[in-house]
Amino acid sequence: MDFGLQGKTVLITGATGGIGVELSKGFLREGARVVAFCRGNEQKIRRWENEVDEVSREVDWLVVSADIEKREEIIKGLELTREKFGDPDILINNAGYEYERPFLMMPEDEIRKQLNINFLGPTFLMQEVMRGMVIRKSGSIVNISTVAARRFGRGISAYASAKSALERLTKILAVEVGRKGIRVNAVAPGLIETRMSQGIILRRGDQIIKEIALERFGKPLEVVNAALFLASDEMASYITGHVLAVDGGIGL
Amino acid sequence: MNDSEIFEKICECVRAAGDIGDLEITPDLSVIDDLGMDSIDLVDFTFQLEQTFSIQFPLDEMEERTSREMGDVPFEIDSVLTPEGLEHLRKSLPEVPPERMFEGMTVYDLPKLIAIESICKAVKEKLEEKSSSVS
Repeated sequence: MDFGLQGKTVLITGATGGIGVELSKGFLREGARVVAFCRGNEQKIRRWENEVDEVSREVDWLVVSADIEKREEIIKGLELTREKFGDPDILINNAGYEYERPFLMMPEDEIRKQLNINFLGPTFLMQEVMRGMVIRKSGSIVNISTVAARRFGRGISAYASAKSALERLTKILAVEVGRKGIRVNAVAPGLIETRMSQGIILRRGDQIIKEIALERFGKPLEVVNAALFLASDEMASYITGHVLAVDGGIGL
Repeated sequence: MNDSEIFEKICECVRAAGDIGDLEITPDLSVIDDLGMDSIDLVDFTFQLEQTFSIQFPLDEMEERTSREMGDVPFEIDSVLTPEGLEHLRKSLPEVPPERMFEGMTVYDLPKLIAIESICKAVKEKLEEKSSSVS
């Protein structure tokens, strides 16, 4: 299957996370040039580099240490991106941060951090990246949301609300920039086997699995395939403002 | 770059940003009323101008300049232009027919005043600023 992503520049945030690494590998396999935005944990970055190196022999990638909570770091990261590859053709807003705690016990700094990473950071990134897309009249953005943006979410009020806002923004932007040739979509994963979901799978996995139509948890690659599809102008040229659930039919 | 070259390049930016078909562009045309641009087209148009001429058009520049030039005199009250604000606008945009600047005009009507000629003037000023800062 040809997604037509060869030579496209793809910016992926949260690139060192469970889904982020697989996203990088997936786009590299398709011949895209990957710019991996990640927060400056050297050890995680080295591990990321080792993992993606095996699929990147014929294509190029760039690791950018950028905290998307800080707009100046986003701008600096984009300058480095443009120097090496030019403006991004595709943006995957994958970075996410979740802090589980009952709402009444949620510390203010954690509420702010979750809004920053899950909503404001992606918002500012879209503002910065869309400029080039508007000029070129082409571009694709995929925001990684969560099933909890629309249902469930006990104990993850700030995270779920921020992702909800991101989904709403996805639809609004799809309308606003559609006629400039830019598509904006989202993927809403259910419970995927990553470190981020490890806690809930360990605590309530047996109970939750009964609510999943496919009776299993998802794999990062299954989210990647949805993101590749939506990012691709070949495959999803007439799809915008859509939130694609990759959740195994949870809670149907 | 002479005036005619600036005008031609601005026409290219208009064609890249708006959906104007074969319409002939003349300096007197309003980018909103005559060329049918909406807010996202205007953003696109600004990006095209910035890229084509290698200049910057900060979105709040006009507001800042007006406030600097008018000092303590209010330009608008509750979004409606004051008589002094209207007078300032007429002096700042002599190329715009005076009847388009009317009593009771609001700040939301301002983008409708932007004509191709005003853009030519603004670009020329920016290019002169740039060349004087280089020399």
